[in-house]
Amino acid sequence: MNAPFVWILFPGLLSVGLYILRKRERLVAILATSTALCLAGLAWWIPVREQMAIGAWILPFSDTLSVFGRHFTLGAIDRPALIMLYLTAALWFGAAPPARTGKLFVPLGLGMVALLTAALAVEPFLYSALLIEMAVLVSIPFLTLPGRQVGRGVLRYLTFQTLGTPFILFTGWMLTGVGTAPEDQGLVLRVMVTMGLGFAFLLAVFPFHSWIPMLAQEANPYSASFVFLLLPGSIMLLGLGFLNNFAWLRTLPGAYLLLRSAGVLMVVTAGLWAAFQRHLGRMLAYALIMEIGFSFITIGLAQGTQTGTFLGIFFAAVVPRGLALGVWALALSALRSQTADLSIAQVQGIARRYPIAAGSLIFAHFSLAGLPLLASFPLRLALLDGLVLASPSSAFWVLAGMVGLLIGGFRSLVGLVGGADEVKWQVTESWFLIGYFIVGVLGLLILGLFPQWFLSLSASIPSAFEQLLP
Amino acid sequence: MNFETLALPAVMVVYLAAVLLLISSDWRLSIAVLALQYAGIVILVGLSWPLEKAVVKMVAGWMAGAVLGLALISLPGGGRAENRLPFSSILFRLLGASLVGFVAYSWGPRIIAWMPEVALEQAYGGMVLIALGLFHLGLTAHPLRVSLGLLTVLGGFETLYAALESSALVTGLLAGVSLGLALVGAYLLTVPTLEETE
Repeated sequence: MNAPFVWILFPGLLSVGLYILRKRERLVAILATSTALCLAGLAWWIPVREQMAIGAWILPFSDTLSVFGRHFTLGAIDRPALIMLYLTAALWFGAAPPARTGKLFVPLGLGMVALLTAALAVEPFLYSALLIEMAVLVSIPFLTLPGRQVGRGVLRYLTFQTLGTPFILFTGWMLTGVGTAPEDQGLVLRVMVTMGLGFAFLLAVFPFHSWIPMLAQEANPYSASFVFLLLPGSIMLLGLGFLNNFAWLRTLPGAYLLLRSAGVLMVVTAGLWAAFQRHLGRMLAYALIMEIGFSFITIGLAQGTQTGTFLGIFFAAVVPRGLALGVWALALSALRSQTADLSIAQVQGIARRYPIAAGSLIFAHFSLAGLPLLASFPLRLALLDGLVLASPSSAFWVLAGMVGLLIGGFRSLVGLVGGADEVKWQVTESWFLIGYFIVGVLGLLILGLFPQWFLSLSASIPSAFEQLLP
Repeated sequence: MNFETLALPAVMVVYLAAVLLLISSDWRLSIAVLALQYAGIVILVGLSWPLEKAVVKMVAGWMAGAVLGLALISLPGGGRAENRLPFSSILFRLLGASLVGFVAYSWGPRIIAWMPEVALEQAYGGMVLIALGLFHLGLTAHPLRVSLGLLTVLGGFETLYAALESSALVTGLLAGVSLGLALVGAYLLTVPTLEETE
């Protein structure tokens, strides 16, 4: 018995079993949700030892699995990431049937989570680019709706993610060369270009961001947001692995400034587009692009004595982001099943029939925009605080981006509650959805009021990147 | 087995195959040409790897072609939905392909200066496939064409990367990615014909 078997092979095999059972949608959702919750619980509970006692039996328990001479290791430092990964999966799988994600979402989503866990565990860490690409391939079927033409968004998503992988693998090979000859400026430039292009493709950095809004418009928002949440998170961990493993990269003049600048560019452009957006699905996409931008800025600020603080913020941000994206996407899916599409013109006045879904959508939107008292606000405040010390002009532009998303939120609100006055207000959502929305919105409020709860959960994760810490 | 004498013809084969993929509007020809392209890739990869390991690339590539072919056969009308390219489009693609060929030819020596482990023929072959694959991707939004373009780009990358990395796990993962791309391509080709209840 070993840790990779529990958190990679078992969910991977279960996803195959659930695929066979996919026609029994509710059963599959219940099985996947309970399995994901159990795996998150096991990550919390199983002590990191060489032996595990179950009753009278004492079983050997290793944290490493060897495949073709390479190792998959899930040690103590990976446990918080495992907890977050499987809790996110449980949150999404639980509401999959009412969100009408299709029969493939839960089985393939679990397979995707297993592959992303493998990407977290593989050594050397560079190979994780290939496992992330496999996770992308697994996600494609649940992003395309049967019986409809394949949209350009999914093709572009597939193309950009596939093109990014070779760049990352080439970078990994070149980085070992830079380690032996750091004075070779030509090599350093080539590494920076290939690495920059690789991560720009994978993380939808401007101008390679177009697939996110296209996909958010074409696919079921709930399925798409699952991908939007897990994939950039895993790729960011790969990027942190680069910084952690290659000393010359983190000491390179301008490396952190470049990350910060890319982040500011993403926040500003996403905010601007969100302010003028007329489609609620695309609005969610721009909020996600902004989140990726904030992640870049956070890593860009994690220097010197501030490294631990900002790495902590980087990992802590996953909780409010996940909750807000989940609530927002579920609300969009609920509204989408009632309208031809999610353009603001089509959803005029729909809040009068679906007030809980519409209200939750607005709450989640404002939370990601950084409105006070909501979950993302404490982290936005800490980030702006750090950014204003590093670069006041960048802080101004980031604030402008956040205002853009806020304007987008008000436009959505006006669209949702507007329309003919004679339509009466009534609650028509199912009880299950109402329960999910209430729990989600309460979560956003509670996390906003008591941020120390989720900050403490992620406090130990930065220690996984020990070379980055001073 | 000594592949050095076959290396330059293999570069020609992959170039012609990639150009034919670009201008072909018959899927049967495209799948056959993809198989030929992978035969060329095996010879180029064989410059760095033993034959029994290099053959993995060809097996994965041929299986990818077979998966795409089976998906197309299963479509209503036998997958004859692709429109024949007009002469002007073929001419444009041929001109583009020749320009891309020149770019790849000029970049070959630079590649081996950056990556001394890579042989010149591998650099030519790899660059030709990557450049023509990207050109192909830039001209299409059809699932079959996107799959073929991505397999071409990936084939070019594998040709270059084989000289740098010989890990069995990476070989297996790259073969898995090629097959996965074909499976996803097959799914995207058939998904409009599936019932909404699926």
